[in-house]
Amino acid sequence: MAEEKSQASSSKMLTLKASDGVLFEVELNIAKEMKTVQAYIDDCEDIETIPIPNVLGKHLAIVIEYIKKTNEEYDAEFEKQWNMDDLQLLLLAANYLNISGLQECLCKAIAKRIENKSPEYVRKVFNIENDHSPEEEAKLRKEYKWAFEGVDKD
Amino acid sequence: MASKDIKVSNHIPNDLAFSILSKLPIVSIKRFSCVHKSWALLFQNPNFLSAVGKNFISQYNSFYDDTCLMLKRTQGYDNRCVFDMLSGERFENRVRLDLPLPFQDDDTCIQILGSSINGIICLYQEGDHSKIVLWKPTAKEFTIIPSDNVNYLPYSTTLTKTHGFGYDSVSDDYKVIRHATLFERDTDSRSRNYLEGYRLYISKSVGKFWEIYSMRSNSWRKLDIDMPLRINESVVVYMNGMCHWWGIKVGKEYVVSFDLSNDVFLTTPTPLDMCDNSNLGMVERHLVVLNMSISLISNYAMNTTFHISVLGQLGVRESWTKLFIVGPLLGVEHPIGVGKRGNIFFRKENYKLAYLDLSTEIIEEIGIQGESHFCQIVIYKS
Repeated sequence: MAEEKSQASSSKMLTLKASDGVLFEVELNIAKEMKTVQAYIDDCEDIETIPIPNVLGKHLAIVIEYIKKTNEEYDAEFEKQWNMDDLQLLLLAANYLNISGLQECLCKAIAKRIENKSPEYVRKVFNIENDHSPEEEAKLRKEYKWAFEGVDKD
Repeated sequence: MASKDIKVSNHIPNDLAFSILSKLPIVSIKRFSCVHKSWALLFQNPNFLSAVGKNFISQYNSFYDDTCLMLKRTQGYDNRCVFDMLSGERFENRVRLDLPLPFQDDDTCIQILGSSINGIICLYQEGDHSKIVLWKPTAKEFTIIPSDNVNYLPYSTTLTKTHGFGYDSVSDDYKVIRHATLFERDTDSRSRNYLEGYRLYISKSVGKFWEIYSMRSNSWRKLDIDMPLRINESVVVYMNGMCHWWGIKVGKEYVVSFDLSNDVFLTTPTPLDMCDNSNLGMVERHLVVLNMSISLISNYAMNTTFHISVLGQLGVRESWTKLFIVGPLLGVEHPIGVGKRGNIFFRKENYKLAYLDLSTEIIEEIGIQGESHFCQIVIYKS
């Protein structure tokens, strides 16, 4: 009995439950990288399953993988695999779980993906409606005419 | 299974949007001003621009790998020059350089033109016979650029002002640009004025022109061009096949950019936000390259708050973007050069040399003193 207990505490596993019910068993030190989870553990020491209501299973899997593997090389290649939707959802996940390294990595990745795009494309990405009048927009476009050269086609 | 039905909100909150947008280059930010009014407003916010600036400064650029700094200081009333190579994270490694042969007899008033190109530094010495030397300190090699010029008229005296040293990749040639003014030779000593080693002839100017030296042909060629002249001893920079200097014409100031491959130039007027006729006095401007972008450090005279603007696109006045306002900085005078990662070097009032780290806004002394006003620091890459 005593043996089992000490084994459990030296490599304690935690279960994270994603919004769609998918369960992930992670080591404590991995889970602690998610500051939100850390705060949860601090509050309720004996907890074994922690609900992550804002994050889908597929994204939580990616986040956990990131924490395990993160280094300069991995980070450089990491963001290339995901489409814009996933990048945003991963960013929201990293934000909710409070993982600053992953947040930085994803913010940089999204910035890189939109830097050469048109304002229309960017509005779609951020789900924003244009609140400029046609005259106001025309004025801005004229003022920044030079910034529109060589923009990617939508 | 169930994942299709469960929709996780896609809406990015403002603080994350701020973080993403602050990582964009200036040109993208300007373009996205029309996305939404709140964005246009955000892009004017100094806090946002400061975040943009910090990201801009820390962006990796392979050009700055394996670089060190060349420091020139002058000593004594006659401005004798010493050159040191500085390296190491805190510039703790210092190597005194021996001047190349042409300057060993006369080491006064030597200026560095631009910064290193393929390990070559251009040094010039204005004066009686303006001397220009291309110097490769690591190989201890030098080339003297001929000052005699077929373009000069007989019985005239020439006053020249070097404006740029650069590399033309199209013709694989090193070039130097210079402006020349010819005067009637005046043998009457009463009408001569001496000013800081220059001899100003009050006699009539009989010709002015620009000329360009090509290393391949080892000769000077006249240029049929009319460009604003460099303001006094202001800094000259070279980047990507173009020489840039701070110039003045008819009282107006510009960044002048000269393309070495086709002899074409363009001008960019000063940013609109800081003007000389403000009641805060004259504006001092220093042209620098920050992380491979043309930038301007401006401060009102006698004021040690520095406004740093980066040029988004050459030739476009509206593309100046003010990214940093730093200061007041205690005890600093004017900038003497820029290192990598946007480190701006200053000479302090107590003669100590220091650099401002733009990402932390902290000033660090480097443990070297610069005796007189004519210190220069340039990036050296062999």
